[in-house]
Amino acid sequence: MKSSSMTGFTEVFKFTYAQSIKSKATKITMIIFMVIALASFPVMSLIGNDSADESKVESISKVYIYENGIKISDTVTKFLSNNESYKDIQIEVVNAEKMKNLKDNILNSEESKEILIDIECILDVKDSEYGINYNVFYGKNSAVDRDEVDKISEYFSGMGEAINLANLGINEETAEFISNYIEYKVFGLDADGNIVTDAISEAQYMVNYAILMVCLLCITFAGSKVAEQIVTEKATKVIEYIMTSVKPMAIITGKVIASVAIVLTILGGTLAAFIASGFINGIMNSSSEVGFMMPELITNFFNQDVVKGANIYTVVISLVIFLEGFLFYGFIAGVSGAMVSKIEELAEGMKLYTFIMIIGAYLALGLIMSSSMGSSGWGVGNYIVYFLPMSSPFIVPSYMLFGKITPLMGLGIIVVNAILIALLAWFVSTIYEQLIYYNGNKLKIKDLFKLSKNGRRSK
Amino acid sequence: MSLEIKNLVKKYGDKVVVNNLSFKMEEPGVYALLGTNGAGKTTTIRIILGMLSYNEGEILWDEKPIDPLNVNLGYLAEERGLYPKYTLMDQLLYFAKLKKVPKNLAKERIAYWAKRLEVEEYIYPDKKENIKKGAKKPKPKTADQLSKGNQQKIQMMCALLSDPEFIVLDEPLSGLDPVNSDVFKSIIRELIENKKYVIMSSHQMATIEEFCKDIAILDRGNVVLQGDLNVIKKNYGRVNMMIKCEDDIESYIDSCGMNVVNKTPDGYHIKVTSEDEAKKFLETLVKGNVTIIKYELREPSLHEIFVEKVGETHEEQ
Repeated sequence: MKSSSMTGFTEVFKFTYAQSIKSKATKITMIIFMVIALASFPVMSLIGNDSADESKVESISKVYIYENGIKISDTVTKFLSNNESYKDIQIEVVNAEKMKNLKDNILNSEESKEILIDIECILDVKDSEYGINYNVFYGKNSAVDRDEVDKISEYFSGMGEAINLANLGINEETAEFISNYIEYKVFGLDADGNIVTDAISEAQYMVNYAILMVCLLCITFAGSKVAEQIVTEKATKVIEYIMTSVKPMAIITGKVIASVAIVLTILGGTLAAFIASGFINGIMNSSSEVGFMMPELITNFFNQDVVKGANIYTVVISLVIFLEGFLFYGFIAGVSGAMVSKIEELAEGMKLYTFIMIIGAYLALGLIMSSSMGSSGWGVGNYIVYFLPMSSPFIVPSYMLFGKITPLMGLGIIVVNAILIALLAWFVSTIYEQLIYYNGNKLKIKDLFKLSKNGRRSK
Repeated sequence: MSLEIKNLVKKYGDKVVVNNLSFKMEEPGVYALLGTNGAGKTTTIRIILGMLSYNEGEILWDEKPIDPLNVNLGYLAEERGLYPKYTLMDQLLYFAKLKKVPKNLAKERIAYWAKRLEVEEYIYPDKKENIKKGAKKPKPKTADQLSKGNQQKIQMMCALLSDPEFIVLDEPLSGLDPVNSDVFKSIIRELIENKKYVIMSSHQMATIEEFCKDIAILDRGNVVLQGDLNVIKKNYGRVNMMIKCEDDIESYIDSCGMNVVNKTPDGYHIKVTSEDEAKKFLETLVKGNVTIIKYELREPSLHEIFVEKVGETHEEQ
């Protein structure tokens, strides 16, 4: 069988993958990720239980209320009595004399489990304290726990508006209606009358942001692996032997795919540990609220409108765009690695790679933020972000799952990306062999073009 | 089978690093590529092996343009390279796989060459006979745990694992101690016996003379001399006279206007223009009753030819 420029690619891939998986660095990374994932649900459960314990107010048995310029004690009493944490607390409305006595003597006794709330109403709009203020007093030497005083204060801070409205005789429903924000939305309609919008919801923003971060992490990890392996082979001169059997294109592609596979293995392991964590937590805390959070979380995620565009086609297209992103950045990482001669110069060589990746990620992030704020994005700029291989892996997969990008456009993006990546690969192939044998100072980008010109003149 | 290089030209920008190189290997054997540092030997080798592109010329294997990926070739690079942190066995199997050698056959060949090159203890450290009494089962060895010489042996194994028909050895003996040099030499002899086509580059002229029939001397990308080494030497003639006498013969040398190349405790090395001139000088000594201990009239060594040719070119430039 005749050999082509891709002959030996599978051998390079298998060897790189196997050796990377065997390496201590990969093992340690995977163990750390898996341990964090495995511990996530039990830890969340513990924190949840701790929060539940904190909600029980035990050091306060009585609250004195002093009304200063407003009649509100009945409503406050009602709110406290209706709250699970404070329902056992006794409430007493006091006059000014008793308030003074409380401040001077009672509150500071060591056995005291009492606090005083001075509800002060200032009606002068020019006064900086204008409005209703809840001043909470407790004895520093008393048995009252400061954290519980803060808790009850925060409760008043949060419920202040509701208490005011209730005091004015406005019921809960009316209060909620009044307190709601007034929002506006712009809807575009297509020819069939369906709503078409470029804006994304808050949940979609979060999902997109999470996908972008994971993608960025994976591309960084995979790219640095590719560059590190190439500079290692170059510095140790192993490349000389390999290139008698394998063309540069097959070497770099094998390494890129192997690095992607390593990243996917780590991600897969982490995801498996994450799922296992949910189930373990479920078994451990079957009675707790967070016990079976994982299956519920997955079900909720897919039932929501967030991923309404998800189907087998969009998922496959998204994965292909992800892989194209890895290939694009992998080739750039390969060139970055080959631009230097020593492993210690790798950070310097990776500047080009990092710069392109940051630009790509920021373009995607900018569009996501713009869309999340209700705008239709950047007009034609949207398409540039979608179709550029440097930014598309960060945004297109999630937008496809949200139904913001049609499968047809997704296919178009795949084709455009493939053409641009092929052009990049061609460029890389014209300079790679010269880069591999280059030993000296780090090359500049203009040097790469010179090398390419020189490479094209050769057989 | 034959290997033919026709008018090969390689440029880096405007700089010509190989200029119109041609040679042919019609029979198995060893062809020597010689030259000063930076003469273009390694570049030529990389081009032949398909690792570098070239601007002009042709490289024919079996009278067809060579496709290095489809020719079973072995390569021992000048700058040795192994993965420092991977086990030796993993690397050897990988390199064999790249050469499309089935795994079982690769293992057999690894075992053969490990024994031949005396590196079994590194490749099979867990073998019973390689474990010292009472010692724990050792971990597989990585390349960075080996000495330079032993790394070179592993490299040689890599070059030979596919049982190549065409082998390129770039400075095969550099950095080896005399014992290991002999091991390598015996392997090169074995390759010649097995009718392999070998291209060898070396600065050790004695080694080249030992193995090579044909040579090419390169200097700054240009071929300054090439052909059959014996013919080249013959063409130079026996112009090197080595003579040692009991008495001082300096006055005789001066009177005959001879050109002394070197004077050592072992005698004089005198350059003569012809065998007749040497004969006349010998007659003069005999007539003068000088006791001659050693007299030798020989062809120039490759070292002398190399120095002369490369020196000439440098002078011209």
